[in-house]
Amino acid sequence: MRVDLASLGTFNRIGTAGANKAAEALSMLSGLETSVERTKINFTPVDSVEALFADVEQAVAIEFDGALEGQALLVFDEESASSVLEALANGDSDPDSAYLNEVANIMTSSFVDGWAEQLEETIDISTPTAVEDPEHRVPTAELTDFSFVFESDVGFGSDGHECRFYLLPDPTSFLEMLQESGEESADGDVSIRELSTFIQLTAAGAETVATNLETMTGIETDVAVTHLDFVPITDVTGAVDDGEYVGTVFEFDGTIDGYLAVMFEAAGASTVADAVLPEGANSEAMQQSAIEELGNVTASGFIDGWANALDTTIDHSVPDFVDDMGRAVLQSIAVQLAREQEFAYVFDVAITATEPMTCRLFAFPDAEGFRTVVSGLDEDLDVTSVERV
Amino acid sequence: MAGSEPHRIRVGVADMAVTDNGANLVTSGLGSCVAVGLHDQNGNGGLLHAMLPKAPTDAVDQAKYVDSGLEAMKDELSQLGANTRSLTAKIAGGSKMLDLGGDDPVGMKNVRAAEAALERAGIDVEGADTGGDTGRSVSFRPETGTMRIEQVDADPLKL
Repeated sequence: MRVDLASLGTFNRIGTAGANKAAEALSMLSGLETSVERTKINFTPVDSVEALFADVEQAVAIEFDGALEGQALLVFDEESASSVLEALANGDSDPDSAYLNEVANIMTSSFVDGWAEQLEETIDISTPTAVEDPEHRVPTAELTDFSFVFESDVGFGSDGHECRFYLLPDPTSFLEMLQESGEESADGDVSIRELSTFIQLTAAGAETVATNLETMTGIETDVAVTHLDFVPITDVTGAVDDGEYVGTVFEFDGTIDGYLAVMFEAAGASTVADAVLPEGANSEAMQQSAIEELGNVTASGFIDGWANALDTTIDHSVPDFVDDMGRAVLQSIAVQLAREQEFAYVFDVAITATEPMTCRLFAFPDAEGFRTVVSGLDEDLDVTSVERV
Repeated sequence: MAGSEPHRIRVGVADMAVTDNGANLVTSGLGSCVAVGLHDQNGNGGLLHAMLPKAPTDAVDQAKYVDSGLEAMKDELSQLGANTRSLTAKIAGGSKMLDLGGDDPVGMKNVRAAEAALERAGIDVEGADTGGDTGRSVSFRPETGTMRIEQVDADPLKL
Protein backbone atom coordinates (compact mmCIF):
# COMPACT_ATOMS: atom_id res chain seq x y z
CA MET A 1 0.00 0.00 0.00
CA ARG A 2 1.27 3.47 -0.87
CA VAL A 3 0.22 6.74 0.72
CA ASP A 4 0.70 10.36 -0.25
CA LEU A 5 2.58 12.01 2.59
CA ALA A 6 1.24 15.38 1.48
CA SER A 7 -2.27 14.26 2.42
CA LEU A 8 -1.12 14.02 6.05
CA GLY A 9 -1.20 17.82 6.07
CA THR A 10 -4.91 17.73 5.32
CA PHE A 11 -5.51 15.27 8.13
CA ASN A 12 -3.45 17.33 10.52
CA ARG A 13 -5.56 20.39 9.70
CA ILE A 14 -8.72 18.38 10.33
CA GLY A 15 -7.22 17.21 13.61
CA THR A 16 -6.36 20.77 14.61
CA ALA A 17 -9.86 22.00 13.79
CA GLY A 18 -11.29 19.11 15.82
CA ALA A 19 -9.00 19.90 18.74
CA ASN A 20 -10.07 23.55 18.71
CA LYS A 21 -13.71 22.47 18.86
CA ALA A 22 -12.91 20.08 21.69
CA ALA A 23 -11.10 22.84 23.59
CA GLU A 24 -14.02 25.22 23.12
CA ALA A 25 -16.36 22.51 24.39
CA LEU A 26 -14.20 22.09 27.50
CA SER A 27 -14.23 25.84 28.02
CA MET A 28 -18.03 26.02 27.69
CA LEU A 29 -18.45 23.11 30.08
CA SER A 30 -15.99 24.20 32.74
CA GLY A 31 -15.77 27.98 32.37
CA LEU A 32 -11.99 27.67 32.16
CA GLU A 33 -9.87 29.38 29.58
CA THR A 34 -8.60 26.72 27.15
CA SER A 35 -6.10 26.65 24.32
CA VAL A 36 -4.83 23.97 21.96
CA GLU A 37 -1.09 23.77 22.54
CA ARG A 38 -0.46 21.55 19.54
CA THR A 39 -1.86 18.79 17.39
CA LYS A 40 0.39 16.24 15.79
CA ILE A 41 0.24 12.95 13.98
CA ASN A 42 2.42 10.45 15.69
CA PHE A 43 3.84 7.35 13.98
CA THR A 44 4.89 5.10 16.79
CA PRO A 45 6.49 1.67 16.49
CA VAL A 46 4.01 -0.77 17.93
CA ASP A 47 6.40 -1.85 20.66
CA SER A 48 6.86 1.78 21.80
CA VAL A 49 3.20 2.71 22.03
CA GLU A 50 2.97 1.68 25.67
CA ALA A 51 5.55 4.32 26.54
CA LEU A 52 3.28 7.09 25.20
CA PHE A 53 0.88 6.38 28.03
CA ALA A 54 3.40 5.41 30.69
CA ASP A 55 2.76 8.41 32.96
CA VAL A 56 -0.99 8.59 32.50
CA GLU A 57 -2.84 8.85 35.80
CA GLN A 58 -6.44 9.32 34.68
CA ALA A 59 -7.85 8.18 31.36
CA VAL A 60 -11.26 7.96 29.77
CA ALA A 61 -11.83 5.98 26.58
CA ILE A 62 -14.53 6.35 23.95
CA GLU A 63 -14.89 4.15 20.89
CA PHE A 64 -16.06 5.53 17.59
CA ASP A 65 -17.40 3.95 14.47
CA GLY A 66 -18.66 4.96 11.04
CA ALA A 67 -16.65 7.11 8.63
CA LEU A 68 -13.74 6.75 11.03
CA GLU A 69 -13.17 3.74 13.26
CA GLY A 70 -11.10 3.50 16.39
CA GLN A 71 -11.06 5.05 19.80
CA ALA A 72 -10.32 8.27 21.62
CA LEU A 73 -8.48 8.58 24.91
CA LEU A 74 -8.60 11.66 27.09
CA VAL A 75 -5.81 11.61 29.66
CA PHE A 76 -4.94 13.79 32.64
CA ASP A 77 -2.38 13.83 35.38
CA GLU A 78 -3.89 13.90 38.87
CA GLU A 79 -3.49 17.65 39.42
CA SER A 80 -5.02 18.58 36.09
CA ALA A 81 -7.89 16.14 36.61
CA SER A 82 -8.57 17.66 40.05
CA SER A 83 -8.45 21.15 38.62
CA VAL A 84 -11.04 20.47 35.93
CA LEU A 85 -13.22 18.48 38.34
CA GLU A 86 -13.22 21.36 40.82
CA ALA A 87 -14.23 23.76 38.07
CA LEU A 88 -17.06 21.44 37.05
CA ALA A 89 -18.21 20.82 40.61
CA ASN A 90 -18.48 24.53 41.30
CA GLY A 91 -16.34 24.50 44.41
CA ASP A 92 -17.47 21.12 45.76
CA SER A 93 -14.52 19.86 47.83
CA ASP A 94 -15.06 16.23 46.82
CA PRO A 95 -16.11 16.27 43.16
CA ASP A 96 -17.30 13.08 41.51
CA SER A 97 -14.57 11.75 39.18
CA ALA A 98 -17.31 10.53 36.83
CA TYR A 99 -17.50 14.16 35.65
CA LEU A 100 -14.38 13.36 33.65
CA ASN A 101 -16.48 10.98 31.58
CA GLU A 102 -18.73 13.87 30.68
CA VAL A 103 -15.68 15.96 29.74
CA ALA A 104 -14.44 13.14 27.51
CA ASN A 105 -17.87 12.73 26.00
CA ILE A 106 -18.31 16.34 24.99
CA MET A 107 -14.70 16.77 23.85
CA THR A 108 -14.74 13.59 21.74
CA SER A 109 -18.09 14.48 20.28
CA SER A 110 -16.80 17.94 19.30
CA PHE A 111 -13.56 16.49 17.98
CA VAL A 112 -15.11 13.88 15.72
CA ASP A 113 -17.70 16.37 14.47
CA GLY A 114 -14.88 18.08 12.63
CA TRP A 115 -13.88 14.81 11.00
CA ALA A 116 -17.45 13.92 10.12
CA GLU A 117 -17.95 17.32 8.47
CA GLN A 118 -14.79 16.92 6.44
CA LEU A 119 -15.61 13.35 5.41
CA GLU A 120 -19.29 14.23 4.86
CA GLU A 121 -20.30 11.09 6.71
CA THR A 122 -21.42 10.33 10.22
CA ILE A 123 -19.27 9.06 13.08
CA ASP A 124 -20.94 7.46 16.09
CA ILE A 125 -19.34 7.44 19.52
CA SER A 126 -19.81 5.07 22.44
CA THR A 127 -20.46 5.79 26.11
CA PRO A 128 -17.23 6.93 27.84
CA THR A 129 -15.53 4.59 30.29
CA ALA A 130 -12.69 5.21 32.71
CA VAL A 131 -9.73 2.97 31.88
CA GLU A 132 -6.69 1.95 33.85
CA ASP A 133 -4.71 0.41 31.02
CA PRO A 134 -4.65 2.97 28.20
CA GLU A 135 -1.37 1.55 26.96
CA HIS A 136 -3.12 -1.71 26.06
CA ARG A 137 -5.89 -0.13 24.10
CA VAL A 138 -3.93 0.90 21.04
CA PRO A 139 -4.95 -0.96 17.92
CA THR A 140 -2.35 -2.72 15.80
CA ALA A 141 -2.48 -3.59 12.16
CA GLU A 142 -1.15 -6.31 9.94
CA LEU A 143 0.02 -3.84 7.35
CA THR A 144 2.53 -2.00 9.43
CA ASP A 145 4.71 -2.09 12.49
CA PHE A 146 3.60 1.32 13.63
CA SER A 147 0.40 2.98 14.76
CA PHE A 148 -1.01 6.35 13.81
CA VAL A 149 -1.85 8.40 16.85
CA PHE A 150 -3.36 11.90 16.65
CA GLU A 151 -2.38 13.82 19.75
CA SER A 152 -3.76 17.20 20.83
CA ASP A 153 -2.53 18.91 23.95
CA VAL A 154 -5.17 21.19 25.43
CA GLY A 155 -4.13 23.65 28.13
CA PHE A 156 -6.72 25.04 30.53
CA GLY A 157 -6.95 27.43 33.45
CA SER A 158 -4.11 29.69 34.50
CA ASP A 159 -1.93 27.19 36.39
CA GLY A 160 -0.43 25.35 33.44
CA HIS A 161 -2.81 22.39 33.60
CA GLU A 162 -3.46 20.38 30.50
CA CYS A 163 -5.09 17.27 29.17
CA ARG A 164 -4.07 15.24 26.17
CA PHE A 165 -6.56 14.01 23.67
CA TYR A 166 -5.53 10.99 21.61
CA LEU A 167 -7.37 9.79 18.57
CA LEU A 168 -6.36 6.24 17.73
CA PRO A 169 -7.86 5.31 14.38
CA ASP A 170 -7.92 1.70 13.30
CA PRO A 171 -4.66 1.67 11.27
CA THR A 172 -5.94 -0.37 8.34
CA SER A 173 -9.04 1.70 7.68
CA PHE A 174 -7.10 4.92 8.30
CA LEU A 175 -4.45 3.89 5.78
CA GLU A 176 -7.17 3.19 3.24
CA MET A 177 -8.59 6.63 3.92
CA LEU A 178 -5.16 8.19 3.48
CA GLN A 179 -4.71 6.34 0.23
CA GLU A 180 -8.09 7.46 -1.09
CA SER A 181 -7.46 11.07 -0.16
CA GLY A 182 -4.05 11.18 -1.85
CA GLU A 183 -3.67 13.27 -4.92
CA GLU A 184 -3.20 11.75 -8.37
CA SER A 185 0.42 12.85 -8.46
CA ALA A 186 2.77 10.23 -7.07
CA ASP A 187 5.44 12.78 -6.07
CA GLY A 188 4.79 12.41 -2.37
CA ASP A 189 4.02 8.71 -2.41
CA VAL A 190 5.83 6.33 -0.13
CA SER A 191 5.03 2.74 0.61
CA ILE A 192 3.83 2.00 4.10
CA ARG A 193 6.44 -0.75 4.34
CA GLU A 194 9.20 1.74 3.48
CA LEU A 195 7.94 4.21 6.04
CA SER A 196 7.67 1.47 8.62
CA THR A 197 11.24 0.36 7.87
CA PHE A 198 12.53 3.92 8.23
CA ILE A 199 10.85 4.30 11.61
CA GLN A 200 12.29 0.98 12.77
CA LEU A 201 15.70 2.02 11.46
CA THR A 202 15.51 5.24 13.44
CA ALA A 203 14.34 3.42 16.56
CA ALA A 204 17.39 1.16 16.23
CA GLY A 205 19.52 4.33 15.90
CA ALA A 206 18.07 5.61 19.15
CA GLU A 207 19.09 2.36 20.86
CA THR A 208 22.62 2.86 19.57
CA VAL A 209 22.66 6.39 20.93
CA ALA A 210 21.55 5.17 24.35
CA THR A 211 24.26 2.49 24.32
CA ASN A 212 26.89 5.07 23.35
CA LEU A 213 25.77 7.38 26.15
CA GLU A 214 25.93 4.49 28.59
CA THR A 215 29.44 3.56 27.43
CA MET A 216 30.73 7.12 27.73
CA THR A 217 29.13 7.98 31.05
CA GLY A 218 28.89 4.63 32.80
CA ILE A 219 25.28 5.54 33.61
CA GLU A 220 22.76 2.85 32.73
CA THR A 221 20.36 4.20 30.09
CA ASP A 222 17.11 3.21 28.47
CA VAL A 223 15.24 4.51 25.43
CA ALA A 224 11.90 5.56 26.87
CA VAL A 225 10.19 6.86 23.74
CA THR A 226 10.95 6.92 20.05
CA HIS A 227 8.43 8.18 17.60
CA LEU A 228 8.07 10.16 14.42
CA ASP A 229 5.76 13.14 14.61
CA PHE A 230 4.17 14.97 11.73
CA VAL A 231 3.55 18.36 13.24
CA PRO A 232 2.70 21.89 12.08
CA ILE A 233 5.91 23.89 12.03
CA THR A 234 4.34 26.35 14.45
CA ASP A 235 3.85 23.59 17.05
CA VAL A 236 7.40 22.18 17.05
CA THR A 237 8.34 23.94 20.28
CA GLY A 238 5.66 22.09 22.24
CA ALA A 239 7.83 18.96 22.25
CA VAL A 240 9.59 20.22 25.38
CA ASP A 241 8.46 21.96 28.53
CA ASP A 242 9.37 25.58 29.23
CA GLY A 243 12.43 24.62 31.28
CA GLU A 244 16.15 25.06 30.68
CA TYR A 245 18.08 22.55 28.57
CA VAL A 246 21.77 22.09 27.93
CA GLY A 247 23.00 20.45 24.77
CA THR A 248 24.09 20.74 21.18
CA VAL A 249 22.50 21.41 17.81
CA PHE A 250 23.86 20.13 14.49
CA GLU A 251 23.04 20.82 10.89
CA PHE A 252 23.34 17.79 8.63
CA ASP A 253 23.46 17.58 4.87
CA GLY A 254 23.83 14.97 2.16
CA THR A 255 21.12 12.74 0.72
CA ILE A 256 18.99 14.18 3.44
CA ASP A 257 19.37 17.64 5.01
CA GLY A 258 18.13 18.87 8.33
CA TYR A 259 18.89 19.55 11.96
CA LEU A 260 19.57 17.46 15.03
CA ALA A 261 19.30 18.60 18.63
CA VAL A 262 20.66 16.63 21.58
CA MET A 263 19.44 18.25 24.78
CA PHE A 264 19.70 17.33 28.43
CA GLU A 265 17.35 18.71 31.04
CA ALA A 266 19.50 21.26 32.86
CA ALA A 267 19.42 19.41 36.18
CA GLY A 268 20.84 16.25 34.60
CA ALA A 269 23.38 17.91 32.29
CA SER A 270 26.01 18.30 34.96
CA THR A 271 25.45 14.68 36.01
CA VAL A 272 26.39 13.39 32.56
CA ALA A 273 29.19 15.91 32.10
CA ASP A 274 30.70 14.95 35.46
CA ALA A 275 30.41 11.28 34.53
CA VAL A 276 32.50 11.86 31.41
CA LEU A 277 35.11 14.16 32.94
CA PRO A 278 38.00 13.08 35.17
CA GLU A 279 37.44 13.75 38.86
CA GLY A 280 38.04 17.40 39.74
CA ALA A 281 37.76 18.58 36.13
CA ASN A 282 34.51 20.44 36.45
CA SER A 283 35.11 23.94 35.10
CA GLU A 284 32.35 25.44 32.97
CA ALA A 285 34.49 25.13 29.84
CA MET A 286 35.19 21.47 30.52
CA GLN A 287 31.52 20.75 31.15
CA GLN A 288 30.65 22.42 27.85
CA SER A 289 33.33 20.41 26.09
CA ALA A 290 31.95 17.18 27.58
CA ILE A 291 28.40 18.00 26.48
CA GLU A 292 29.70 18.82 22.98
CA GLU A 293 31.55 15.52 22.78
CA LEU A 294 28.48 13.60 23.93
CA GLY A 295 26.51 15.45 21.26
CA ASN A 296 29.06 14.57 18.59
CA VAL A 297 28.96 10.87 19.38
CA THR A 298 25.18 10.92 19.57
CA ALA A 299 24.79 12.73 16.25
CA SER A 300 27.20 10.38 14.51
CA GLY A 301 25.54 7.26 15.90
CA PHE A 302 22.12 8.45 14.84
CA ILE A 303 22.86 9.87 11.42
CA ASP A 304 25.29 7.15 10.37
CA GLY A 305 22.47 4.64 10.70
CA TRP A 306 20.52 6.49 8.03
CA ALA A 307 23.59 6.94 5.82
CA ASN A 308 24.69 3.32 6.03
CA ALA A 309 21.21 1.97 5.35
CA LEU A 310 21.12 4.12 2.22
CA ASP A 311 24.74 3.39 1.35
CA THR A 312 25.49 7.10 1.19
CA THR A 313 27.13 9.77 3.32
CA ILE A 314 25.44 12.38 5.47
CA ASP A 315 27.74 14.99 6.98
CA HIS A 316 27.02 16.94 10.10
CA SER A 317 28.34 20.28 11.32
CA VAL A 318 30.39 20.92 14.43
CA PRO A 319 28.24 21.07 17.58
CA ASP A 320 26.52 24.35 18.40
CA PHE A 321 26.37 24.49 22.21
CA VAL A 322 23.16 25.69 23.86
CA ASP A 323 22.24 26.34 27.48
CA ASP A 324 18.88 28.03 27.37
CA MET A 325 15.10 27.64 27.20
CA GLY A 326 14.44 24.38 25.36
CA ARG A 327 11.49 25.84 23.51
CA ALA A 328 13.55 28.76 22.24
CA VAL A 329 16.16 26.32 20.90
CA LEU A 330 13.58 24.23 19.05
CA GLN A 331 11.90 27.40 17.82
CA SER A 332 15.13 28.61 16.26
CA ILE A 333 15.32 25.33 14.33
CA ALA A 334 11.64 25.50 13.39
CA VAL A 335 12.10 28.98 11.97
CA GLN A 336 14.80 27.68 9.62
CA LEU A 337 12.46 24.94 8.38
CA ALA A 338 9.47 27.31 8.21
CA ARG A 339 11.01 29.16 5.30
CA GLU A 340 10.36 26.12 3.09
CA GLN A 341 7.70 23.94 4.69
CA GLU A 342 4.47 24.15 6.63
CA PHE A 343 4.83 20.86 8.50
CA ALA A 344 7.85 19.16 10.03
CA TYR A 345 8.80 15.54 10.41
CA VAL A 346 10.30 15.25 13.87
CA PHE A 347 11.96 12.17 15.31
CA ASP A 348 11.51 12.49 19.05
CA VAL A 349 13.66 10.26 21.24
CA ALA A 350 13.72 10.34 25.03
CA ILE A 351 16.52 8.52 26.81
CA THR A 352 16.21 8.04 30.54
CA ALA A 353 18.75 6.70 33.00
CA THR A 354 19.20 5.23 36.44
CA GLU A 355 20.75 8.54 37.48
CA PRO A 356 18.33 11.49 37.34
CA MET A 357 19.03 12.40 33.73
CA THR A 358 16.85 12.72 30.63
CA CYS A 359 18.33 13.18 27.20
CA ARG A 360 16.03 14.40 24.43
CA LEU A 361 17.09 13.91 20.85
CA PHE A 362 15.21 15.58 18.03
CA ALA A 363 15.95 15.06 14.35
CA PHE A 364 14.31 17.34 11.82
CA PRO A 365 14.85 16.01 8.30
CA ASP A 366 13.78 18.37 5.53
CA ALA A 367 10.47 17.25 4.03
CA GLU A 368 11.75 16.71 0.50
CA GLY A 369 14.80 14.76 1.63
CA PHE A 370 12.67 12.71 3.96
CA ARG A 371 10.42 11.54 1.13
CA THR A 372 13.44 10.78 -1.06
CA VAL A 373 15.16 8.79 1.63
CA VAL A 374 12.10 6.81 2.66
CA SER A 375 11.43 5.96 -0.98
CA GLY A 376 15.03 4.87 -1.45
CA LEU A 377 15.01 2.37 1.39
CA ASP A 378 14.93 -1.36 0.85
CA GLU A 379 11.63 -2.12 2.54
CA ASP A 380 12.90 -5.57 3.55
CA LEU A 381 16.01 -4.10 5.18
CA ASP A 382 17.07 -5.86 8.38
CA VAL A 383 17.55 -2.76 10.53
CA THR A 384 19.63 -4.66 13.06
CA SER A 385 22.26 -5.34 10.39
CA VAL A 386 22.95 -1.62 9.77
CA GLU A 387 26.37 -0.53 11.00
CA ARG A 388 26.66 2.44 13.35
CA VAL A 389 29.44 4.17 15.18
CA MET B 1 -8.49 31.67 22.47
CA ALA B 2 -11.56 31.00 24.53
CA GLY B 3 -12.71 31.21 28.12
CA SER B 4 -13.67 33.49 30.95
CA GLU B 5 -10.52 33.96 33.07
CA PRO B 6 -9.34 37.42 32.07
CA HIS B 7 -6.03 37.76 33.83
CA ARG B 8 -3.68 35.82 31.55
CA ILE B 9 -3.92 34.91 27.88
CA ARG B 10 -1.33 32.65 26.33
CA VAL B 11 -0.09 33.54 22.88
CA GLY B 12 1.41 30.62 20.97
CA VAL B 13 3.90 30.55 18.14
CA ALA B 14 2.51 32.23 15.00
CA ASP B 15 -0.32 33.51 17.13
CA MET B 16 -1.68 36.78 18.47
CA ALA B 17 -4.24 37.99 20.95
CA VAL B 18 -5.87 41.33 21.70
CA THR B 19 -7.64 42.42 24.85
CA ASP B 20 -9.46 45.35 26.40
CA ASN B 21 -10.12 43.75 29.79
CA GLY B 22 -6.84 44.08 31.63
CA ALA B 23 -5.51 40.62 30.83
CA ASN B 24 -1.80 39.94 30.66
CA LEU B 25 -0.66 38.53 27.32
CA VAL B 26 2.16 36.01 27.63
CA THR B 27 4.32 34.08 25.22
CA SER B 28 7.27 31.82 25.91
CA GLY B 29 10.30 30.32 24.21
CA LEU B 30 11.11 33.18 21.86
CA GLY B 31 14.25 32.34 19.92
CA SER B 32 14.59 33.94 16.52
CA CYS B 33 10.88 34.72 16.50
CA VAL B 34 9.83 38.22 17.44
CA ALA B 35 7.12 39.41 19.84
CA VAL B 36 5.47 42.78 19.28
CA GLY B 37 3.16 44.33 21.86
CA LEU B 38 0.85 47.20 20.90
CA HIS B 39 -1.28 49.30 23.23
CA ASP B 40 -3.21 52.55 23.33
CA GLN B 41 -3.67 54.98 26.21
CA ASN B 42 -7.04 53.40 27.07
CA GLY B 43 -5.60 50.01 27.98
CA ASN B 44 -6.43 48.21 24.77
CA GLY B 45 -3.62 46.12 23.43
CA GLY B 46 -2.35 43.03 21.72
CA LEU B 47 0.64 40.74 21.44
CA LEU B 48 1.94 39.10 18.27
CA HIS B 49 4.43 36.18 18.19
CA ALA B 50 5.65 35.94 14.58
CA MET B 51 8.11 33.48 13.03
CA LEU B 52 9.13 34.98 9.71
CA PRO B 53 9.52 38.54 8.39
CA LYS B 54 7.42 38.67 5.25
CA ALA B 55 4.20 36.91 4.27
CA PRO B 56 3.99 35.24 0.87
CA THR B 57 1.06 36.32 -1.29
CA ASP B 58 -0.87 33.12 -0.54
CA ALA B 59 -0.31 33.20 3.23
CA VAL B 60 -3.15 31.69 5.24
CA ASP B 61 -1.70 32.07 8.71
CA GLN B 62 -1.31 35.85 9.09
CA ALA B 63 0.19 35.76 12.57
CA LYS B 64 3.05 33.59 11.33
CA TYR B 65 4.58 36.62 9.59
CA VAL B 66 5.64 39.95 11.02
CA ASP B 67 4.14 42.15 8.29
CA SER B 68 0.75 40.47 7.92
CA GLY B 69 0.55 39.74 11.64
CA LEU B 70 0.98 43.38 12.61
CA GLU B 71 -1.63 44.46 10.09
CA ALA B 72 -4.05 41.83 11.36
CA MET B 73 -3.43 42.80 14.98
CA LYS B 74 -3.96 46.48 14.22
CA ASP B 75 -7.25 45.60 12.49
CA GLU B 76 -8.38 43.52 15.47
CA LEU B 77 -7.48 46.34 17.85
CA SER B 78 -9.47 48.73 15.70
CA GLN B 79 -12.47 46.39 15.84
CA LEU B 80 -12.02 46.21 19.60
CA GLY B 81 -12.40 50.00 19.76
CA ALA B 82 -8.76 50.86 20.30
CA ASN B 83 -7.50 54.27 19.33
CA THR B 84 -5.16 53.10 16.57
CA ARG B 85 -3.69 56.60 16.19
CA SER B 86 -2.27 56.48 19.69
CA LEU B 87 -0.79 52.99 19.49
CA THR B 88 2.75 52.48 20.69
CA ALA B 89 4.89 49.36 20.44
CA LYS B 90 7.40 47.26 22.37
CA ILE B 91 9.51 44.61 20.63
CA ALA B 92 11.39 41.58 21.96
CA GLY B 93 13.12 38.56 20.47
CA GLY B 94 14.95 38.03 17.21
CA SER B 95 17.96 36.38 18.79
CA LYS B 96 20.61 34.29 17.07
CA MET B 97 20.79 31.30 19.39
CA LEU B 98 22.28 28.95 16.82
CA ASP B 99 24.90 29.32 14.16
CA LEU B 100 22.29 28.98 11.42
CA GLY B 101 21.29 31.30 8.62
CA GLY B 102 24.74 32.68 7.77
CA ASP B 103 25.48 36.39 8.07
CA ASP B 104 21.85 37.46 7.85
CA PRO B 105 20.00 35.33 10.40
CA VAL B 106 16.22 35.20 10.48
CA GLY B 107 16.05 36.74 13.95
CA MET B 108 17.42 40.11 12.87
CA LYS B 109 15.33 40.02 9.69
CA ASN B 110 12.27 39.63 11.91
CA VAL B 111 13.30 42.60 14.03
CA ARG B 112 13.96 44.79 10.98
CA ALA B 113 10.62 43.73 9.47
CA ALA B 114 8.83 44.70 12.68
CA GLU B 115 10.56 48.09 12.85
CA ALA B 116 9.78 48.78 9.20
CA ALA B 117 6.13 47.71 9.47
CA LEU B 118 5.63 49.83 12.58
CA GLU B 119 7.22 52.85 10.92
CA ARG B 120 4.96 52.44 7.89
CA ALA B 121 1.97 52.28 10.23
CA GLY B 122 3.12 55.39 12.10
CA ILE B 123 3.48 53.49 15.38
CA ASP B 124 6.31 54.57 17.69
CA VAL B 125 8.53 51.92 19.22
CA GLU B 126 8.85 52.83 22.90
CA GLY B 127 11.10 49.98 23.93
CA ALA B 128 12.96 47.01 22.48
CA ASP B 129 15.05 44.11 23.68
CA THR B 130 16.15 42.32 20.54
CA GLY B 131 19.03 40.34 19.09
CA GLY B 132 21.63 38.66 21.26
CA ASP B 133 21.95 34.92 21.55
CA THR B 134 19.50 33.91 24.26
CA GLY B 135 15.88 32.83 24.44
CA ARG B 136 13.20 35.03 25.98
CA SER B 137 9.76 34.74 27.54
CA VAL B 138 7.52 37.77 27.38
CA SER B 139 4.60 39.08 29.39
CA PHE B 140 2.83 42.16 28.02
CA ARG B 141 0.35 44.24 29.99
CA PRO B 142 -1.79 46.35 27.66
CA GLU B 143 -3.22 48.37 30.53
CA THR B 144 0.17 49.97 31.11
CA GLY B 145 2.10 49.00 28.00
CA THR B 146 4.71 47.29 30.19
CA MET B 147 6.60 44.41 28.63
CA ARG B 148 8.41 42.07 31.03
CA ILE B 149 11.12 39.88 29.53
CA GLU B 150 12.66 36.84 31.18
CA GLN B 151 15.82 35.04 30.16
CA VAL B 152 17.76 32.12 31.61
CA ASP B 153 20.52 33.34 33.94
CA ALA B 154 19.48 37.00 33.82
CA ASP B 155 17.28 39.27 35.89
CA PRO B 156 13.90 40.04 34.35
CA LEU B 157 13.85 43.16 32.23
CA LYS B 158 11.00 45.66 32.10
CA LEU B 159 10.40 47.81 29.03
